[in-house]
Amino acid sequence: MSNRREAIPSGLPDRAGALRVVLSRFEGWLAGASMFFCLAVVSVEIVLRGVFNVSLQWSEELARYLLIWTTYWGATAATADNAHIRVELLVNLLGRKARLAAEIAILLLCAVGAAVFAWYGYGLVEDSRLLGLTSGDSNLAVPIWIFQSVIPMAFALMTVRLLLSVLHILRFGKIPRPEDELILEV
Amino acid sequence: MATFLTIVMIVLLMVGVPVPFALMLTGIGAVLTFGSTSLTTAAQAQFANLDSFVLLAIPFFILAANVMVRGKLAEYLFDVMHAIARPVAGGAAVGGAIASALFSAMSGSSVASAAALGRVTIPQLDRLGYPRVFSTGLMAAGGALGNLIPPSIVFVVYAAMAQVSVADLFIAGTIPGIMLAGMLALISWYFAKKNGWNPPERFSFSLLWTSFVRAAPALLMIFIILGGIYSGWFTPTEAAAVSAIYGIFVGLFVYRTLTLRDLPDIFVQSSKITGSMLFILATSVFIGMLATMAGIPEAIFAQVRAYELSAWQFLLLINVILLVLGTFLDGLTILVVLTPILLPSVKALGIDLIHFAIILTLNIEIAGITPPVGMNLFVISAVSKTPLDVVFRGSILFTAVMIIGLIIVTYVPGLSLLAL
Repeated sequence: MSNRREAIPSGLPDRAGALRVVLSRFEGWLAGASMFFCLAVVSVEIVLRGVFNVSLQWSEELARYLLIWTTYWGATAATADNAHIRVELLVNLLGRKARLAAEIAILLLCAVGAAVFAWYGYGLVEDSRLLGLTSGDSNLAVPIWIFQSVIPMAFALMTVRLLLSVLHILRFGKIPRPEDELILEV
Repeated sequence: MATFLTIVMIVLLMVGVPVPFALMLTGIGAVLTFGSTSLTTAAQAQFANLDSFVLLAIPFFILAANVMVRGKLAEYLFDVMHAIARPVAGGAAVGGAIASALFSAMSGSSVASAAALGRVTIPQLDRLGYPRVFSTGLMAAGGALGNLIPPSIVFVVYAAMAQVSVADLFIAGTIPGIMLAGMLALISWYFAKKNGWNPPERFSFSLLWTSFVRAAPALLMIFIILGGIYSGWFTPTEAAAVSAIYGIFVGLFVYRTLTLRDLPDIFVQSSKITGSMLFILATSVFIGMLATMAGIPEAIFAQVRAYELSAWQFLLLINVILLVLGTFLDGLTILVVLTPILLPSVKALGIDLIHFAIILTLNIEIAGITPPVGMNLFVISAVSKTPLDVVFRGSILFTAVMIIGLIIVTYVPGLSLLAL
């Protein structure tokens, strides 16, 4: 991982960096696994329909929820990598110090947004749980809060990620970016 | 207040706040000021905005693209098209343009097309004497066909937002896509002939045959995806799943460019790309909210009425605005921000929603190849190790070609709608 190569100026162990590594395995794994199961569910449905002419009533709904899981965990991983799409035109014009200050301000602003949705996302999950709501089409008799729970979890983790990036900038004077850039492996 | 929030959003985007967070922060601001809905509802709305079977096509197309970028499919496709185009001047560039169109017919992403083909063709074009300023521009523009030629991620996102059929969009994009590929091929032929790059070579049937056999699994994939969608055998989502599985199968067992151990990593990478794209779509729900609260779509339509704009004048104006926005914003952001705002006016002016989608998509293609911010230019520069300023200069000619294409597609709706 990238932070192994970074010099640690103070000589202290980079605990925040170590946490980043552990978290990125976790989010990446969850996002990738959600995507794998999503593909598996849709494929099984195609085979069942094409070969045996039967359809699983719940498969489409489950696939949709898995897509949402893929999205939020994938977005969390992208947050960790500082790989979200953004306009860098103006920040690129800044000098090094000003640029880092601007990046910290941006990261903190994003952290506020993520924290708000972690909190209200938790509220949403609580509401659904107390009302005993089940998933939309009710072909899948599973409480919807199980699927919705990705919102508070992912946003909470995003908040942590954004704050870790701030720490990283303060410590190493640069924005953390992993080698696995978001753009397709080229 | 709504005007203020709109300005806040633009400022947040411009100072470099990542797009989904800029949209989220604006949404929080809108909820707090207007108070007509709660933040809990806003959290729910994000979730609901993604709850669509149509959108499932996106991760699968990204997965398929990621598999193909790793494999040698792009190289084999280029070899076949080059073998066919050998007898004309600029045969390799013409082959590269056509191969871009074919790769686009397997991949839903223009960045993937540019990356995969740019990497294999640009070194070959170097060898035949094409300057980088030409070859990088060509391959960036060729990659941009990726969104117009089905399958296309942009179409899937638009279909989910505008509630139109993905299959219709896929059909509508085909002829404009082929037309643009033809224009790129024509330009390649013209410049190669004029400058004496890559003179005609002797046609060789054996070369064509061997390259065809190698490329056959790739060509079969195009047949499966497009044939499946056009015949109604698969929904676009299912076609995407089939293409991902077929791509993995071919990579593992036919071309052997993949091993089972690569797969977890491919899934993780693809899910990150999916996450960053669909997160923007999830948070775009706030644009819709803000626009509705502030009456922005109505205000725009009132202006359209006030100036008595006809459909063609409106489209001209939209094209100009999109071209300007496209120089610094990426295509997906343009798509999710503008679609909800513009659709009411589009409907009221009697413009076909499918035709409008094709115009919007073509603008997004152009956004990808216009400096200073153009995803395809960055990718081409990275894969071919060409300085960015050379790629930027190379993009000028091809942007001009694409704009001519845009004008034709805008004012000849039949190109998009005839096949429906």
